[in-house]
Amino acid sequence: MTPVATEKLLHRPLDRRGLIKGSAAAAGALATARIRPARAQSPVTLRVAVYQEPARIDVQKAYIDAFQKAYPNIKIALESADFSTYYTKLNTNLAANRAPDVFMMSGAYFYSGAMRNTFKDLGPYVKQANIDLSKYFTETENSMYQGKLLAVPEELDILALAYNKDLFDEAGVAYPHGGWTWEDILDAATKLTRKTSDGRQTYGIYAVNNVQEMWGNLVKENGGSFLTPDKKQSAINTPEAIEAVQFAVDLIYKHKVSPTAQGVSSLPGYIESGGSPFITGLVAMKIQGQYELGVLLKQNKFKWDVVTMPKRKIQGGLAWTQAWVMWDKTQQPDAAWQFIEYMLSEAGNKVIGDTPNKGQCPPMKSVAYAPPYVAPPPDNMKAFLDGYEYRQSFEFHPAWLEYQAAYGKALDPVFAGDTSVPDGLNAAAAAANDILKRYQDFKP
Amino acid sequence: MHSAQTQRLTRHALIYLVLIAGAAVMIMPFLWMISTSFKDMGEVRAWPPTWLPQHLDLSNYHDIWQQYPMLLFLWNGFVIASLTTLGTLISCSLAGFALAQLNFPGRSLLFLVVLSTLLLPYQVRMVPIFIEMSKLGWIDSFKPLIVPAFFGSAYGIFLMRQFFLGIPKELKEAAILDGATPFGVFWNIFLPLSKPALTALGIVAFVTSWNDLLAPMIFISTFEKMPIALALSFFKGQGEALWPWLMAASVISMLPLVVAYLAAQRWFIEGMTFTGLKQ
Amino acid sequence: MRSVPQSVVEPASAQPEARRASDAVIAQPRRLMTYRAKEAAWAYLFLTPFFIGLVAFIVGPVVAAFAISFTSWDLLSPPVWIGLDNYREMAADSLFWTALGNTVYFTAVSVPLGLILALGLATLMNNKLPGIDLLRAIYFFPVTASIVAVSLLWAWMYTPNFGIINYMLSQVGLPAPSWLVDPKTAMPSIIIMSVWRGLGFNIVVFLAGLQSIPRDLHEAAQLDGAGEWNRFRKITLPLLTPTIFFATVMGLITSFQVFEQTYIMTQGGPGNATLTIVYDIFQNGFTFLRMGYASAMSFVLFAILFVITVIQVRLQTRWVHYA
Repeated sequence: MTPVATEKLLHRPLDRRGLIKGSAAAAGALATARIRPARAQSPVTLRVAVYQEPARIDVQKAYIDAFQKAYPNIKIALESADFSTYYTKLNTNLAANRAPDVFMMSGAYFYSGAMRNTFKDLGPYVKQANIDLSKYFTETENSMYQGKLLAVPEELDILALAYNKDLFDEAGVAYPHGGWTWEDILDAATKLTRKTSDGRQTYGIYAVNNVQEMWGNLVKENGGSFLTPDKKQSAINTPEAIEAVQFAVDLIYKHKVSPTAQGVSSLPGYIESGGSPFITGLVAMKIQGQYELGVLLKQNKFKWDVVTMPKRKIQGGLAWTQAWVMWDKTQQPDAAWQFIEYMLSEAGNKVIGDTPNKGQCPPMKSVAYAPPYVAPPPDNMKAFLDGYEYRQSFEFHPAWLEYQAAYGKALDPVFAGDTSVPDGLNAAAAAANDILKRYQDFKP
Repeated sequence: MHSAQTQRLTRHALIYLVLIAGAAVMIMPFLWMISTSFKDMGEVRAWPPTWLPQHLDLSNYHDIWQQYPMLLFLWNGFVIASLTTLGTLISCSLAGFALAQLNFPGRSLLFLVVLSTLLLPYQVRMVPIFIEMSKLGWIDSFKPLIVPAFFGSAYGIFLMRQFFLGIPKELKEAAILDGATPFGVFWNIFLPLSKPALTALGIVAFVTSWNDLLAPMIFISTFEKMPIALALSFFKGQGEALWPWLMAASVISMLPLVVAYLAAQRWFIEGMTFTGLKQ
Repeated sequence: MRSVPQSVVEPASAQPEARRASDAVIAQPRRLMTYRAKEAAWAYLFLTPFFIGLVAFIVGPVVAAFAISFTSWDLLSPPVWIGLDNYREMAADSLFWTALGNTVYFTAVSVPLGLILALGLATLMNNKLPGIDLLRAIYFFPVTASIVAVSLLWAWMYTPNFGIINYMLSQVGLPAPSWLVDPKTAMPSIIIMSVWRGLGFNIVVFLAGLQSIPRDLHEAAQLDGAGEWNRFRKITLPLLTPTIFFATVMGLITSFQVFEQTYIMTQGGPGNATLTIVYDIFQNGFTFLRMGYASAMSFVLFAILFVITVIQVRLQTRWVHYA
């Protein structure tokens, strides 16, 4: 960590906006020095589209500003929207043949676009610029399609187990560590589910019908998967998956260490906290993504930290990337590449890594594993990155959103306690197989 | 006489009672919204909830005003909504008058056609319309939001038709026999009579345009061109700090409409008496 | 559409008027012809903007959407013709039927409830009383707020144990439902919020209708000794029927297309308890990239609404009173 960065980090809570400006300017200057746009180009306007949760808008501002400083000839016309709005708009624009030159792509939509030649092959560019992609968090399922490189990483999304230190202290339970199994979690959760001396009802954990931050991880760590290896059938009703989901549901109804969905929305402060049970301070443990750090770091009601995901049969945890793609029909491939190249550059990564809002994990490993990104807060920030080694695939697929929606709907009554786990998962598999019928030709 | 007065008083008291009770239900969420917009996060989460903020804290308003060009968003919303309203009033009163008062072949069929234009959800027309607007080069401008209103909306045409059907045909016939043209009848007789309907339509058109989300969402990309309703959706994401902001921004977005409504209402009420109309 | 007889949509009471107009000019057949032709020409002139808009912004997209409904189209690559497959798939799609059922439920409760409340309140507000202006404005408040904010606000107030609604219910000793999180109460919660939000629009429309009822009719009836209720039933209600007809037709059309509330508050859940047709259409078209299927669903919705609307237009001759 450079001395400048240290000093700024200490000032973080005091002057957030100033810091972003400062680091962006510094990075911008660095970029100008290193990359030095070769020829004086006539100014061009580049349409760049991103989805940003409001909690991370500062990161986005920082890197656009830095890029503008480094490349004054390329004017960025930024189009940003929240996740669902973003895709409605992007797909409408694609249908009308006027997509942005560069845009963010989630694994959820990657194959849909890739199959339809929406993205430019970035292979030649990467080769010419001599970029070694192994230095980045690159996931095949959000970059490669039939041997072509169609997307490069924008950020890594990864999970860890967050825990509320205050609740552990009050209940006299030892803090979790990276070696914990789900049985250890259950033990601790049992002790953490109680009425506190001042009358609050606290819960050990939150088991919810959410593939990303709950049962999907259990299924994977139990040796199960969402689809069969050939991606043609659902695998959600295999014994491994049933056992895993049963464990999650048992946390609610058998062991009663988790609130129900109904109960969680009844926690005081639940909706005001943006629907985050952990932020209410009444749930001792919760799987959280690094993407929530911007919000988590702002709360100051209780002390908390993170550890790597607990293991079951194997250690695991879902991880995935967001990516940059270039529109296949862009009129300005050079400017578009310059933007993407900047976002892959060390300078661009440092702009992201330096922002105090840690919600966006820089895609370049050397920047992510170095301070300030990997440094506290939270104390054990590196737990997120440690988990990368054990990461498991989200099994993206052109029908991913659709089959996952079918799983979610089928599991609603299971998590509400109205349907048995095998029945729910059999229904989920049947619904997904119906959807997958339309994609039997799909080859990643 | 005395009992009649008592009766009138009781009647008024009853009206007030019902209306005030209803108004309390209607306004409750807004009091809650306004009160939240002045609270800090700690108090927002307080239990039991507090109706009155402990200290009048304007920082939420101050913060959003500082971080976002709120005035520009309001102005964009105002330009779009007022031009849309103007277009709706002109086109819908003309078409409504023709459908209600003039005889011409295909009239009933046309009325069904007008209604039919409402039956297909916008969500599926959206992509073809977007493609069309993009061919016209209108994307990221106010035009796709404003221009269609000048060609009439089914809602407005239907409303005006119903209203004009309520005006006796004799009025038109007498004027025609006196040598007036249908346009003269429309302009000199029917339009002045239709103040309540025009005001109602104007209010509805303005408010609908002001709060429309889906169309601006797909047509407007540039931050500086966003109307207030679209800008509000920025605050809806996760993140607890945004909750009082959303409430404050909503109050800001509502205020102009409430003021405009109160102003329009005056006109609305003055236009109500049909004194010139003796049957 | 051509088979709809003229009289179906022609208000019965309009006909004698038309005849009277011809009576007036019957002595001069040539002028009659010219006048009729002239009036029609004027009518088409008045309707010209609508025709242009119809062709430019409506017919094109509707025809396109209709054609799309026979294709498989992912928005990203050219559509592929698949004939009636989308419609066949829909018949077997249990989700579609659930969505249709939920939409009918929403409409069947929210439309009558909203109309009766709005009519009653507008009638009460149509009195010149001190302070009534402010009361009218308050009823209009919900309409002025952004749907995003209002939906989030209600979701917040509906919070089971700690929401302001259940807090107030508990203060008066009433049971506290789970509102949006319970599949049984989720749709009623959406309905309550929607009626609350939509009331202001209908009140404005009803007030406009009420205010165009000539005063002297009421005064004359009052002199004849007619009581308040009788005057409402015999004068106000009949003269308001064109407005009520309008509000009913529009209410049904818009409720059948309910979208934003469920999109923001529940995303169709819990389970599929609040999945509505337009939400299903939106999700298929823009999330699952199945625009062909979404278009096919829309045309089924179109057909349903068309039948309902034609029936309403046909029935209006029985109860709607035109001057």
